[in-house]
Amino acid sequence: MAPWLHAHYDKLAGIRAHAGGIALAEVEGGEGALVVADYARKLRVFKGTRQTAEIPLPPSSEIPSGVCGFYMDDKKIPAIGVASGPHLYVFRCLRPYHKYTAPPVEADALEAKVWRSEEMSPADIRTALAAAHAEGAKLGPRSLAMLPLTSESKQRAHVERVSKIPTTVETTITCTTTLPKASEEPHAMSCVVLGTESRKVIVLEPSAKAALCEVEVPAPPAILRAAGCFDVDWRVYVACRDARVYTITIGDHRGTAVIRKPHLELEAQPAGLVVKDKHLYVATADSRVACYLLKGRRHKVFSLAMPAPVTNMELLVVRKARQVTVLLVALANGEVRVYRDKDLVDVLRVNEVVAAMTSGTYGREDNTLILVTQNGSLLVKMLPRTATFEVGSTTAKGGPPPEQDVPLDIPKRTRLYLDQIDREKANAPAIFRTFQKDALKLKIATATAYLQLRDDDTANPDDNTANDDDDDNNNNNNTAAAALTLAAKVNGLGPFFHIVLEVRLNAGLTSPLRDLPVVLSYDPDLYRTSRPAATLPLLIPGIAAHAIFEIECIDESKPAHPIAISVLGHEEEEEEEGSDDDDDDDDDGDDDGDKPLVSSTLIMPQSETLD
Amino acid sequence: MLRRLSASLSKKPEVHILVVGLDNSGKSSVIAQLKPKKVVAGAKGEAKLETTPTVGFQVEEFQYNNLSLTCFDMSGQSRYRSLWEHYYSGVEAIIFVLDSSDKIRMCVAKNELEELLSHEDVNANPIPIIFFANKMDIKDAMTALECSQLLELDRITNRPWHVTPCNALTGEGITEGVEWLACHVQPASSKCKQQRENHRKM
Repeated sequence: MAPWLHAHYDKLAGIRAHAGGIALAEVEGGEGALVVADYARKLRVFKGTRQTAEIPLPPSSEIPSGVCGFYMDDKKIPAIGVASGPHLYVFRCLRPYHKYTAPPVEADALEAKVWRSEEMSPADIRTALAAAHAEGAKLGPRSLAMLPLTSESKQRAHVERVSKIPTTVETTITCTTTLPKASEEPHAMSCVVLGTESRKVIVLEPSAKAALCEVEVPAPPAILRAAGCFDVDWRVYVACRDARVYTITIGDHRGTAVIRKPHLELEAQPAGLVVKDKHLYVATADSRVACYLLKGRRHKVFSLAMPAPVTNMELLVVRKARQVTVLLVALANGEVRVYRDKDLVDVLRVNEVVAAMTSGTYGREDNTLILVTQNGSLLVKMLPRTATFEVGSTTAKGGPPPEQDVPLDIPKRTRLYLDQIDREKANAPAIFRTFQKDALKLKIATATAYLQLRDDDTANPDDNTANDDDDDNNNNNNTAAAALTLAAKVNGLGPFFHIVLEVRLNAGLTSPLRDLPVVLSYDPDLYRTSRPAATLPLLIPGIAAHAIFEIECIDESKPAHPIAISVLGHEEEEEEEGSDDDDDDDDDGDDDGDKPLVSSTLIMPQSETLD
Repeated sequence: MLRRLSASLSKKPEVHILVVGLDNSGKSSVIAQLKPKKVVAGAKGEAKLETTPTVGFQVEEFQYNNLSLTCFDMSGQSRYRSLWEHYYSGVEAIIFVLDSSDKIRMCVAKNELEELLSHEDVNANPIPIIFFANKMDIKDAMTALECSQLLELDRITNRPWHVTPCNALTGEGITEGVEWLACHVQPASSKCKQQRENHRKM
């Protein structure tokens, strides 16, 4: 069913990266390679089944937050950008080429003024900062560190330490993407788009040396997706940490950017964002994938519930006779689900949690899916030429079941039925009252019966003693019948049978019975058993004891003969040990010694001979 | 009547060969090596090592030893691979060219091979198939044995098949492969005759 070809699986690739940390890009020589910004502060390049290059980032750099491939100029020489801390390291021909630093954050005006003033004492600085903080100014880390310092010496030390450092604060790049500059052709120039912790979205020049434009969004961006061309018309969709998706687009004139309303309010934090044609797919932390229309008021087209949280979401463009774009959703349960619009067309089971996923051209093969799992394994899946993600091509549930379209077989309304309806309409109160009355009667009857049962139950032991006092002989059987229930059945076709006995204490008996013998009496000409008698295990109220006898039919020509089963009391007059009347029975022990507590006759089936 | 008979006898047996394989595996280069050298030299100069990606397909007709070969050089690009199946019915042999340095796409080649072998025109016809494990000169290239293991060639039981390592740039190994093919191929003319005889018997 799964159409994927398993091209490569490297358990020991040891890749540690998140969703933005891997990309398929050209590195050199025209073939698509996998570039990975590894947590180990390395840029790793994979081609085919092996890693071909590993370039360490500068030792001072931080854990990379994103990687992207782009083209800086018309020479079609690919460049790779790795975002780490405030810097975007640009590599060309697998050599460090250039570094762009995101603009640092200016300190709050009030705060900057406080720190710049020469004559203020450390205590004054702290008071002024506290006042600014109270007024709602956003203080930088140096001021926040100053606030809790109370001792004069510590304040002075802190002021001396930080006074040499400029008040501006370096930011951190949170996510990256690329936007074509002038045309969307494969090797055309493209701009890197950065999102920073300082809530900025920056579109860089293709040379990655300066910003073309920047926009401040209300919250730090988490995921960026771009569409269009910078020189013509473009959109950058920004999923931010305030659970909203903003749209940034071209401003009043070229080279400017504005946030275009309306923004999208999500129900949970964004986990994935994908733009497909006229739709925006957003995966959220509440295990849902929602599709919104990009035109107009961004209303929700549909929303799908996933069986597990979404870890990654990506598009796969299948270029064949007809171009088909499918949505890939990686889940925390190790599945990668393939959706075509809202129909589930395939489920790829990875059995590991996918940490990063990307698709595109790898080597010479288009339609390649690259998966990096949390264990660091690298999986390469390819799509065969004949694969079709046709809706309904899989048995997986997608869309409404076909039964939904089958009309129900509803019988026609008969005259009788209509008359009944009329009657019920006309006499509704009377019918209701009658029903209530009957219902009440039924309830009373049930309650009475229940009460009766309970009374009988509790009274039973007393009754037995009373009866036994009066008339032993008859009652012994009664007591026995009341004391034990025997159920017997025969298993097997013959000539070997199993007789299965189930003996349980009846309700009302509260003390257990021990070591009761069971005896089978049968026609010795017809049946044979190695063990005609057995001892029952401890009988406890509420729990049945079982005994199994193996019996063989010797003469199969004769008709089957019934077998009598008897559960005997103890030889020392203790048959009715459990029935609370030991004293009385001592007297009549001689009479009843051999009387069974309970007996039953079992009709044996005719043994069927195997020819 | 007699003249026609003598003409058909003197004519070299004609063999139609389908050349398939993934893009960039070297199908056109293999054929270029098969072609008589003087034709190549006369047409394109001494060293014809550069080939451009084939679009659609190309038909090459030439004499090889005492066989008259008609090669259908199919394009291996994925968008043209759907053309392959239209040529399965009329061929007497298949050449499958593999890029033995492209390990990651062996699964794609395997998939295409399975498609080919399960096609009714090929499945019904026990025509020989030869695999050229091309690009043996490249450092990381797999051996012919590794290629056949990856493609699970041992599962082909209903037709003669053979794997031979080769290098289409130098021509190494190509002759061996074609010689094997020449031994196992049933030329079209004789096959036709056989078929006609079968018909008559029926």
